[in-house]
Amino acid sequence: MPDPAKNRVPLGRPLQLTDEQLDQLAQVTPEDIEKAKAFWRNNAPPKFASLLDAQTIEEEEEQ
Amino acid sequence: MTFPIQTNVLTSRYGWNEATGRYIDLRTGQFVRFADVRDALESVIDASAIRINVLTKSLVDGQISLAEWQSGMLEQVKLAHTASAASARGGWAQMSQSDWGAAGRLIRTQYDFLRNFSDQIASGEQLLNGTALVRADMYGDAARGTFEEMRRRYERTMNGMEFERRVLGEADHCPDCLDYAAEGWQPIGTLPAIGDSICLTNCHCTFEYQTGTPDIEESEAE
Repeated sequence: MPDPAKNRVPLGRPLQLTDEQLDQLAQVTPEDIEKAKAFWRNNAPPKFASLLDAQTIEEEEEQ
Repeated sequence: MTFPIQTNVLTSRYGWNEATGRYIDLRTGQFVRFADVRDALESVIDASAIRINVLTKSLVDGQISLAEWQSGMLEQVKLAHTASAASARGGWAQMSQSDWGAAGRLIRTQYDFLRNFSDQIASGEQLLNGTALVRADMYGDAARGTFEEMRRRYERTMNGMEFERRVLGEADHCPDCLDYAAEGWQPIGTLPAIGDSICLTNCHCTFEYQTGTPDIEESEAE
């Protein structure tokens, strides 16, 4: 029987990220937005899959 | 107030009314309930939680390294919080550069927590067991706080709202949340953010907003 302990990936060190690097990483890029759009579409209830594709609309004047 | 009813199914079924800060179902011309928007977000947060759980279980089981886990978590946090921010602000088209900057700052806060989490795993201070899974789950749940913060920002800066109050969600309530809700209407931006209570990211409270003089009697009666 294979020993699971032998197949463990070494934990290793965490990413060494400076404050400046975290600042950079936290910025939302167009690529991030495209991924988030797909994530919402694929995981929101079907009725609301297109909710975030909403455009601003103006209300109509009451006659 | 009426809104045009849309029949073109090639575009989104929804619109956004900037004056009210509400989505509109263009097929019916009716506002989309806040509860429905939040429920939709909950589904997205749940999906994020599953990914975070799988990722963290892989780390606990020794299938991936700490750096791989951290990298995956950074991506997943940004994904969930980006979608959450946009849902609060009326959708992708309504997000301004300033809004993206605000979303980035909220993500940055999560990244600080995540760096600390990773360092504690490396040092052994955070054990790689069920507690790590529970702690990791909080990063997806934190997207709920991002939704409320982005909405609060919108209500204050663009919708002219002056007062806010905490509304208890459908969950067990921590003493902090009970206290904050009992404070009733307060100047906008003064009540602690969602996630700043002892229940942390498990918080299901929301904010309500009002302009003008709040009805203190109503507030005190609730």
